[in-house]
Amino acid sequence: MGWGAFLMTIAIRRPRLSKQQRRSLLIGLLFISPAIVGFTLFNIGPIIQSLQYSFTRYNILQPPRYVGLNNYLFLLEDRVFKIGIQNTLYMVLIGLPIHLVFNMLMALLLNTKIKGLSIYRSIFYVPSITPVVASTIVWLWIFNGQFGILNEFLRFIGLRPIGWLTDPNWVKPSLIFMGAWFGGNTILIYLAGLQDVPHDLLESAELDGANALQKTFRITLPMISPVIFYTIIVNVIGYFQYFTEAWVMTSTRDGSAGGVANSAMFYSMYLYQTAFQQFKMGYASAQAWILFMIVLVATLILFKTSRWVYYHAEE
Amino acid sequence: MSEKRISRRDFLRASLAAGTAATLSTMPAGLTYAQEQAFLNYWTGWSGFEFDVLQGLVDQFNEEHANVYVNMTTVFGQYEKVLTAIAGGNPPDVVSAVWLHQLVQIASQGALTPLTAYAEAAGIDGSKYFPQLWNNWWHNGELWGLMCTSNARVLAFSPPALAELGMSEPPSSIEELDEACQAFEIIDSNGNIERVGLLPDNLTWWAHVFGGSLYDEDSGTITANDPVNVAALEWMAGYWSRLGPERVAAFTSGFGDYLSTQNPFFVGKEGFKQVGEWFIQFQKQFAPDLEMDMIAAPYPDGGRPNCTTFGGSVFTIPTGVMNPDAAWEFIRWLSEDDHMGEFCFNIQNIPPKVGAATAERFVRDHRFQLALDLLNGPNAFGPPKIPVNDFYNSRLGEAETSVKAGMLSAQEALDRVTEEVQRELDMAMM
Repeated sequence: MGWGAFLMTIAIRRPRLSKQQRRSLLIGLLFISPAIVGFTLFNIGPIIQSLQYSFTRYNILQPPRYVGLNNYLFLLEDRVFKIGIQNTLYMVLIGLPIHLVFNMLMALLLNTKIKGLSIYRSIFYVPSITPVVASTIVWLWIFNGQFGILNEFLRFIGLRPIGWLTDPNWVKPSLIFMGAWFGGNTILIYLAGLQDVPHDLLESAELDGANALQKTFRITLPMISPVIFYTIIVNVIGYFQYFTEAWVMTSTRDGSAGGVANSAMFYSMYLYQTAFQQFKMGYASAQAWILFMIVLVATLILFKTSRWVYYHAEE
Repeated sequence: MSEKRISRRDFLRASLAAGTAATLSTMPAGLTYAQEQAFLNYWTGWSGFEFDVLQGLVDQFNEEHANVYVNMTTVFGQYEKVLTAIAGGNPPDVVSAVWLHQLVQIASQGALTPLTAYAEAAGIDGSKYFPQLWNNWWHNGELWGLMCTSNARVLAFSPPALAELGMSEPPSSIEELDEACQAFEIIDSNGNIERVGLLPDNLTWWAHVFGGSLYDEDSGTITANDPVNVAALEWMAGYWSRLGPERVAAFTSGFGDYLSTQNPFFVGKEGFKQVGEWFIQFQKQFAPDLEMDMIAAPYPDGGRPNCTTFGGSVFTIPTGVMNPDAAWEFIRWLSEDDHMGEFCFNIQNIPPKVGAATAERFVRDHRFQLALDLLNGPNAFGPPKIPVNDFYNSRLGEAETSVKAGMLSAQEALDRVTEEVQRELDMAMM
C-alpha cells in the first residue's frame, strides 16, 4: 500500500515539482533508500523467485528443474497437506471465534470501573509480551500428563487424566485452550475501541431504560464493529500461519513435529518441513503460494461481507 | 542548550572505530591458530558430555598437526543447517551431523565429496571395518563417508525388577516378552497406568525382528506392507489397544526427559526399554545405582534371532570446501583404532572397526559384547540405501502412531506408507 502510494506520488507530482521540491524528494529518497533496496532485494525478489520455484523441482543444491504444474498437481493428492489444511481450518473456524469472543468478554470486563483495574489489565497483557516459546514451554508442563496441574485437578475431582498433547482427539482443543493466554494484544485493541464508544449514546440509552445487555449489543458492539473487523482480518491471516505453539508443543527429539498421527500438523508446519527438512523448495513454494491465495480469498470474502461494520465517524 | 557539531572527519573516524570494534567482536573467541594453518570448521551432532569427549580428541589432533586447526561446533537439533550451509556456498569442512540413513540422500543431491580416492591412497579398503557398515557408506560406486562410532539396538531391563515378578530368566520369545510385560503392568484403582512392561516402538526394528524388511533392493520396491511387517505393527499396537490408547497417551505424556534422571526406565515406569549400547553410559550417569542388563529382541516363530538394526553419524566432507585434503586428514586421523576407540569407549558406542571394538576394555562388559555380536551377526540391518529415508521414516512414524491410537488398521496404514513412499522414491529417481 505504502509502496504503491509512493510510486503514485512520483508519477503524478513529478512534472509540477520546483527545484527545491525535487531536491527534497531526492534527499527523502536517499534517506529511505536502505529500506527500499532492502525491501526489493529481500522481500519482493524472493517473493517473485518463489513463484518461479513453485514450477520447478529444486533441492537448493542442484539447479532448479522446470516441472510445469506438477507441484500443484501433487499437492492435490498429498494426504498430509490435506491434513494440514483441515487442522488449520479447525483453528481458523473454531479456535479463532472462541478466542475473539473470549478476548471481547475480557475487554468488556476490563472496561468496567472496579478497584485495581490497572492490575487486572496488566495481568492479562503481560503474557502477550512474554516470548511465545517460553510461554509454550510453561504450558507443556501445565499439560504434562503425569505432573501437569490440569491432570492433577482432574484426578482431584475424581476424573481420569487426559493426554492433552499425546491424544489425537485432545491436542487441537488443548492448543485452543492455551491460545486464550496469548490474547493480550487483541484485548488491548478492544479496550481502546471500547474507550472510544461515545458516553452520550450510552447515557441516552440508559435514560430510555436500556439494560446492560441491550447497551452492549445495541450500542457498544456496533460502535466498535470496525475494531472487531480489524481484529478478525488480522487474526484470520495470523491463524492461517499458525506455527510456533504447535511446533514447540509437538516437536520430538528427532526434529519432527505434528503430534500423534499428524493431529497437530498445521499448514505452515508442513510447509516448513517440506522446505527446510526435506529441502523440496519447489514443492514448498507451491504450498506457500496456495496459502497466499487462501489467505487472500479469505480476506476478500471478509471484506465483501463486511456490511455489518458500522463506521460512526463517516456519518 | 549548546549545540556541538561533529566534523565529517571525526564522524568518519568514529565510524571506522565502531566498524573495527564490531568486526573484532564477531570473531570466534579463544581460537589460537597461525595464519599458515588450514582452518577447518567441523560441525558435529554430538552435544553435552559426548561433545566434551570429542573436543578432547580434537585438541589432541590440533596439537599433533601444526598445519591444520580444527574448530568444532555442535549443530545438535539443527541438522537442517548443514544442507543450507552447503547450498549457501559456505559449508563446514567436515560434518558428522549426517545420519547414516541420510547419507545416500545427501550424496545423491551432490552435497558431498566422494572419499574413494582418499581412502584408496590411505590404504583404507574396508577390511578392518564391520562389513555391513562399510557397505552402507557406498553408493553409485563411491565411498561417501566413514563412521567413527556405531550402535546396535537391544532391549534393556532390570534383573532385580524381573526377579521380583518371579522370573529368573529374561524373555527370549515374543510370547515370553508379552507375558513378562503384562506381569510388569500396574494400573491403579481409577484405571490409570502406573507402570508398563514395554511400549514397543520403532517399527523398523520390530519388522526385521519379525522377519520382514522395508525395501527390496533387487526390484527397487518399498515393502512396508509386507505381511510380516503388518504382523509386527499389529503386535506393537496390541499393547496400546490392551491398555487403552487414551490411558497410554496420558501415561507417556508424563515421561521425563530421555537424557535425565527422570527417564521413565530409570524411575521404574518401564520394565523394558528399547535402546542401544550407548544406554550403558547414560545409565551410569543418570541411574548409577540401577542394575541393568540387556538382551537381543525376543522374536516370534519365523522371526530372526539376534536381530538388530544399526545407524549412527557419518563423517563426511561437503562439496565446495576449501581444504578437502586437510578435512580428510582429520577424518582419517579420527578413524585410527586408538582415537576411534578412545571416543567410542568414553561415550559407550561401538567402534566400526573390528579391532578397536574387540579391545578388552569394551568386551569385558557383557552388555557391550552382546551389542557387538549383534552388529557383527547375520541379522544386523542398516537403513535402505534409498534417497527418501527421511520421508519414509516420517511416514512410518505416522503409521505407527495412527495404528496405536486405533485410527487405522496396521494393513491400511502400511498400504498407505508403501504407496506414498514408492511414489516419492519414483519421483526422486526421475
